[in-house]
Amino acid sequence: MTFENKSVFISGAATGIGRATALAFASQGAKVLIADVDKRAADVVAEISGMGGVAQFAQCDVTDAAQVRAAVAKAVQDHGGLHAAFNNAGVLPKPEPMHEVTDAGFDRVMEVDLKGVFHCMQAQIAQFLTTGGGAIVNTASVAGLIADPMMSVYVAAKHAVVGLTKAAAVEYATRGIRVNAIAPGFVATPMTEAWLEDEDFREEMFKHNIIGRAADPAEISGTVLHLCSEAASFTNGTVHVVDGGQTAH
Amino acid sequence: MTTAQKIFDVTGKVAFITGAGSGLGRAMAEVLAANGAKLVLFDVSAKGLATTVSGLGATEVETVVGDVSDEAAVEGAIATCIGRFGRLDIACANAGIADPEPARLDGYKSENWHKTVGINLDGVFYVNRAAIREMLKTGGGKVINTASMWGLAGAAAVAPLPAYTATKGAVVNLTRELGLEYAKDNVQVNAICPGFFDTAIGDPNDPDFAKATVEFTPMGRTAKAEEIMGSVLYLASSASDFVTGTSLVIDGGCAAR
Ligand SMILES: NC(=O)c1ccc[n+]([C@@H]2O[C@H](COP(=O)([O-])OP(=O)(O)OC[C@H]3O[C@@H](n4cnc5c(N)ncnc54)[C@H](O)[C@@H]3O)[C@@H](O)[C@H]2O)c1
Ligand SMILES: NC(=O)c1ccc[n+]([C@@H]2O[C@H](COP(=O)([O-])OP(=O)(O)OC[C@H]3O[C@@H](n4cnc5c(N)ncnc54)[C@H](O)[C@@H]3O)[C@@H](O)[C@H]2O)c1
Repeated sequence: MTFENKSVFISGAATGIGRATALAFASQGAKVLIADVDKRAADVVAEISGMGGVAQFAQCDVTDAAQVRAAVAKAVQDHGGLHAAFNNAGVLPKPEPMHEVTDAGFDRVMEVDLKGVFHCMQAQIAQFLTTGGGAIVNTASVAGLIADPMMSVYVAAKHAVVGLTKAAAVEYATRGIRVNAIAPGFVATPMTEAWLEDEDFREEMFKHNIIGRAADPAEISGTVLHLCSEAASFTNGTVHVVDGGQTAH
Repeated sequence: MTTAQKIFDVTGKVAFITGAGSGLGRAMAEVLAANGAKLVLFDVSAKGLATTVSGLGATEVETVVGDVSDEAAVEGAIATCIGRFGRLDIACANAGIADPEPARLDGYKSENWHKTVGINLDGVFYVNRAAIREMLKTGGGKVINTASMWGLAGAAAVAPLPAYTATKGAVVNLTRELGLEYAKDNVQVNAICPGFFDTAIGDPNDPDFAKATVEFTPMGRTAKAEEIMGSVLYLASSASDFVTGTSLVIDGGCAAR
């Protein structure tokens, strides 16, 4: 598998799953554009440059369509087009009973986790239609397939990401655009750091989760690379579950 | 070799593939061989196996002619694998047939039912059990079961396939169960659910069937057998080490619609 000279857009790659995947893409020769609100994305760019790769940081809030369009345009301009995109930026709200969620809290999660992915897909699809196609991978979650208590808005947003993925896959299937999602289980990232350190949570979490451990972010990147590559040429509108068996039960 | 290349590498791994004499099984043999695996190929068709082997180049490969619905034949083939290579790392339970005579259930012949169950389900059971027993001895492995998109949905809009849909659905859920049973033993068990691939299983000479498959598929085409290779390499390699009990859909968008 190689992404030699391929231009790849990744949102949310300052830390966690996005960062690990950016490094994996770069190691395969891809030119990576990282769109993120967090300036630490510049460190990932430096890391990639340090290993002889090509990367750029576009400071970008995915809730703002104009910023997303600009970031996609930058990838196209500076990296010779756009071949694949990994829409991964997301936020995890604090656990909260559904009847206590405020409108503002609801809107915030939907803005980032759903509309942010929507903005990215719109800009990418518009670009792909001018060049004959490309591959999109969206980060959903096992919360896009099943539900945890106290996570209602996140669960709804991630289910919706799965829906958007299928909708786009079917809509653009004959125009060279493939759209798939990944559904990671529990991954050790800054997002889940607090949970990982909470013994009660861990005990509850792994009661029904036989694998008994969280994944390293690098264990997610192989799935993303596979789905973005030509090797997945007939894979479209699917959700690739990467959860150590969590949702098989 | 970069980390990303390493995670898709199967150099030195020993793979057992049923139904390796044609279609998807042949593509599995080709991709695993090209990425450094040693192979034991199993099929009822000696001729099919010979053709597969002739296309592999200098790979270390053993062939066994046999029927997956025959428990002793499967056990014997795994023993041959251990005898030659000393271990088993990757098992592809791929041999399968379509309903011998597609028909709605009220007119379905019992012999066709039992034949399909014998190959598509019993065969998968024999291969999984024998393979997992070996993998537990060596600290892990990868099992890849070939189900179908008809393991996730009914097929009658295209053709009435009661035994095929039943057995493929069973393979999907057996895969979930085994994924869980062996999650802690570093044996990852996953299924692939192909849509319409151009192999000997369909009827390429039936223009109505060919037209129906293309119309049914959102991508507006059927797949070449080699388009299965990427998913197989992904599931056979450490790229999928946190992936178990899942079914990968490779269907050009059919299931999404
Ligand atoms: N960690 C897990 O267990 C887990 C499980 C399933 C799914 N996910 C999903 O994986 C994705 C990545 O999460 P992670 O675990 O790596 O966490 P993370 O917090 O390390 O990464 C999230 C990234 O998104 C960026 N981001 C957040 N809001 C943004 C915005 N408005 N605009 C642009 N960038 C923004 C952050 O700066 C960060 O770089 C998220 O979509 C998350 O929901 C995580
Ligand atoms: N081609 C498709 O569109 C498609 C779609 C979904 C699933 N599948 C599945 O993929 C698998 C491979 O099928 P294919 O499409 O490559 O078809 P194929 O007919 O080209 O290959 C099947 C191979 O299995 C062998 N085989 C059949 N019965 C056997 C038995 N009892 N014991 C040992 N070997 C036996 C055949 O000799 C042949 O070599 C099957 O399980 C099939 O159900 C195929």
